[in-house]
Amino acid sequence: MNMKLEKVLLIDDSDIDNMVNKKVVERTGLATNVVVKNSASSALNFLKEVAESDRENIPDIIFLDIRMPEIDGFGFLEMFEKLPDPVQENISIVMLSSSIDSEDYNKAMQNRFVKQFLNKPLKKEVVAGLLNNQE
Amino acid sequence: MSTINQKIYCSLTDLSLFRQVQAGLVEDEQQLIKTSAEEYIDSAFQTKLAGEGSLWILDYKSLRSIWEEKGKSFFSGFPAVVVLLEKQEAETLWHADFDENIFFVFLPLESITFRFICKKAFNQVKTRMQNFREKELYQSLFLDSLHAKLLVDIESQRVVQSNDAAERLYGKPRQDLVNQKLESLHPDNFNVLWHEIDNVLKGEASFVKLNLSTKQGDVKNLKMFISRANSDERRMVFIDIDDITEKERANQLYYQQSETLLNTLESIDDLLFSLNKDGDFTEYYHADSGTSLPFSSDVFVGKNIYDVGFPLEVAQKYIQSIEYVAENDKPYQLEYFLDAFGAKLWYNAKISPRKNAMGVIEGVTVLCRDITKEKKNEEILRHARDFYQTLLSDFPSMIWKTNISRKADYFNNTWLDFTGRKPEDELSTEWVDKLHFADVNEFLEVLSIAYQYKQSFQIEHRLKHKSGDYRWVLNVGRPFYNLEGKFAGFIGSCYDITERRQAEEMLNIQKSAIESALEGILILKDDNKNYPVIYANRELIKLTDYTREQVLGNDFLTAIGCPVENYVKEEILTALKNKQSYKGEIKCFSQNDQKESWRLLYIAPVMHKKNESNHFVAILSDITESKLVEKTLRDKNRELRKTNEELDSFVYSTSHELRSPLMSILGLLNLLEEESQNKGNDSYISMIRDSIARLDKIIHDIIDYSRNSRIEVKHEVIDFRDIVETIFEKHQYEDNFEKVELVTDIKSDVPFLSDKKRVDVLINNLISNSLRFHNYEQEKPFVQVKVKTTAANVIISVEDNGSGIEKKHLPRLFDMFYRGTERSKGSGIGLYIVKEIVDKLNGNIQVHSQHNEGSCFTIELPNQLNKNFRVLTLGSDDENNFQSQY
Repeated sequence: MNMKLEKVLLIDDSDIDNMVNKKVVERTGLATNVVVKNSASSALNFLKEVAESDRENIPDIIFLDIRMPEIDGFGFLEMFEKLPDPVQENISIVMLSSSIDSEDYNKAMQNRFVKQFLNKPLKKEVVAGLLNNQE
Repeated sequence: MSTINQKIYCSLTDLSLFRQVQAGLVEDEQQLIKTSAEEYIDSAFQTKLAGEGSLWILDYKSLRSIWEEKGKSFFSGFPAVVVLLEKQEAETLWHADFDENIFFVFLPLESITFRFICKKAFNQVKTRMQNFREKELYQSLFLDSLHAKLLVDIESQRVVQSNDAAERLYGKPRQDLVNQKLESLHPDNFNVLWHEIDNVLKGEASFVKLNLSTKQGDVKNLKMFISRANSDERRMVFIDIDDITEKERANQLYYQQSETLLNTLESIDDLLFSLNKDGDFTEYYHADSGTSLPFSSDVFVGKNIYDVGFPLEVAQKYIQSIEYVAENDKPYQLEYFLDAFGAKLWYNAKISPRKNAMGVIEGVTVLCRDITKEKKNEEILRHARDFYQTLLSDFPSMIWKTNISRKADYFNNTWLDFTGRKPEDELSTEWVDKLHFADVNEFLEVLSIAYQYKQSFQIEHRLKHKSGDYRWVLNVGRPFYNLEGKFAGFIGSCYDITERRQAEEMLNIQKSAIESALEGILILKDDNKNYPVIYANRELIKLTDYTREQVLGNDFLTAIGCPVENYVKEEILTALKNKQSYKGEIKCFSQNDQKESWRLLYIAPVMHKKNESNHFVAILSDITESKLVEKTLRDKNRELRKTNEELDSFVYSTSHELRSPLMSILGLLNLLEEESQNKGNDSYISMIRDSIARLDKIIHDIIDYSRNSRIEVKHEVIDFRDIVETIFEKHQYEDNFEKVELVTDIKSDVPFLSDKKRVDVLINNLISNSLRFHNYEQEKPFVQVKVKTTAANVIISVEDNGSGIEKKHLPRLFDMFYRGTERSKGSGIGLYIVKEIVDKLNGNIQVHSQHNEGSCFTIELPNQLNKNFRVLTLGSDDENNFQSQY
């Protein structure tokens, strides 16, 4: 499968991280549309919206933080399962966390939508590498 | 008027009186013989029958002188006496008592009267003579008989008359016998005699045989014939006594002899034969009762001993014996075994010389006796003796024997083996030296009593063993009788009971030990129902509030004095029913104070031989206190664990939480660096980056440490190549990384099992240390990682030619927070974690380092392969590839 990096959704509760990540993604020059959401629930709402009425803007890739208040990354993944097919079919999820806990890693990698697990901070080369590394 | 023609003796001093007698009485003068009284008496006694057929005429004077001299009865012995006396003389005699043979004639003689009286006297003489003769005959029969005779008056039971033989028999003069009570003569058997006399009085004459003990102490056998002998005045019996003592003796002797003879004849089981000097049979006798060789004499007589079927060697022996006997004129005894005539018998032949009337030896007489039985008995006896001697000698218990004088005269081999003495030494060793000194006196006393009463005895004492030790024996002695049944001493046997004594002692110790044990101990009987207590020690009694009597015999669950819940009861009873052991802590509620107490109860079946169990042993101890302590401890522990877990989890989450803003800073720094290129801030940015890296390293270390202490060790298959490559990859963006040559030498043919994450941390820490402290100025900096797995272990070494470690730092290298150099960007716990992990994985670590030359860390870890081969198939590669990047 091809991973696209044109439409990117960043989900993180940290505004600083979101700002940094957005810049890094944009600087790769690959992204045309970067959407930032600072909570899982707002991200889910966004996805429902685009799935219903704006399929053009369904993201290609989501960078998902794990530790977030209310609904954390894993909570998001659970709810993602319930989203309509067009959303699930088109989106690749990359975990982006400062966690070096192997339990987090294992748990995340068991989810069928998660394609990669990256540690913060996000680097330009790593993002670019995502396109190449995809099998 | 008849005339008197008998001789008349006249002893008359008055001659005129004589003439008157002559004239008046006789016609023939020869008829009248004049004699003095003395002469007459003398001649009368000489002829014994004085005045036989004659008349003796005396005058009064002669009568008186004889009377006075000899007594009135003197005249009774004469036939008839005519006394001439004056009238006045007659008056003095008037009242005298005269015998009837004395006639008186008064003077002066009147011839008619005189004649008449003389005639009467003659007649009287005639009668008397007749009587006298009869009496004489009777007297000679009675008095002179060789048989003792007694005439006994029935009324008075006294002897009236007896004879000389009686005198001899009874050893008393005749006058003493007369008037004797018959009983005094036969005191021993008077009743028998009188009974017989009584019978005789009633009927026929009879006899009785009686014994009479004489004064000399002999016993005479009497045969007493009894007949009636009544006269007018009194009843009498006449006893004729025949002394049959000799006759009886002779009879008896005869009977005895004939009996012996008969017996002898009957018992002869022998052969009697004669042989002449050439060995020809001349006579042959074989007793009828003899069964050994039933031949009649004609088989042998006339034949030579060589020709009658005797085995040659027997015949030869006979011939030699005959020669010997003939030559020496001495009997010879020959003993031989005869296997002939269908018999196998032993014979003893007594060969004696046989001589003819001239005393010349003609041959021999042979008395041949069958001694097979004796031989057999002898053999049996010998066998028995041998058998018993062997038996005694090697009998497995110690045997001794003492003779009648209490002296030991036998010890068997077992005994000698025990004491280690030689037989002769053993016999000369006194009991005092055999036994323990404390036991000797009692033993000797027991032995003495046993001898006195010839009774068996039994005693336990110590006996000196050849080793010098004393061993306890049970000594049992019995009186011993020889073949004749005579007491011959004692025979005894000893059994070593040292072990029994020791076992008894041990048993006592065990008993006391159980009794004084500090835990309650019970023994239960397996009756498959109530399991009653048959033993309870002191401590158990203390544990219950019962007395021993209340506990013993009571059913188990009641006896332990601890009311337990029903399900516990069930558990215990089920275990008992299945003969299984039980272990449990039992909570008891005392009815009295409602206090909770605890008992630890063990029950185990008591295994006897054959794995049978009829009893249980139960151990009951009060664990109330320890239970309390345990509870407190458990509570504390739980609290502590909780605190620890909270702390761990706090450290863990804090570390993660710390990392989040740090990574944000790093992200911002990346942006800053990109946007402010070539504005002279690079060195600041670089310093911030280093600080962040250091902080992140500390966070990593803390997480690794908390992980190592918190997470259970896992056993997984480890792919060292993958691990090392991943580590190198992780470090590839670090400064100077490209300058270092990375060498890997991994030989991992044998699968290695250990905790992958921990091994990863180990190798990572060592590699990152090598990289961080490397000397990048030198020509060829390298880091070499070597791995070699075996079934037992793995050796991992990480070597570099970097800055090395100063010697002074080596002892504290693995201490927590120890930092040897300012160059260290870490927390100082990296190597501490390495050490902790190696310990956790039961491995070891070594360091070889030279300052400014390089270091080599070598780790050895055990392979868990054999201990956990199952894991091989579970190898999961999910938990890897996860590394932080910065």
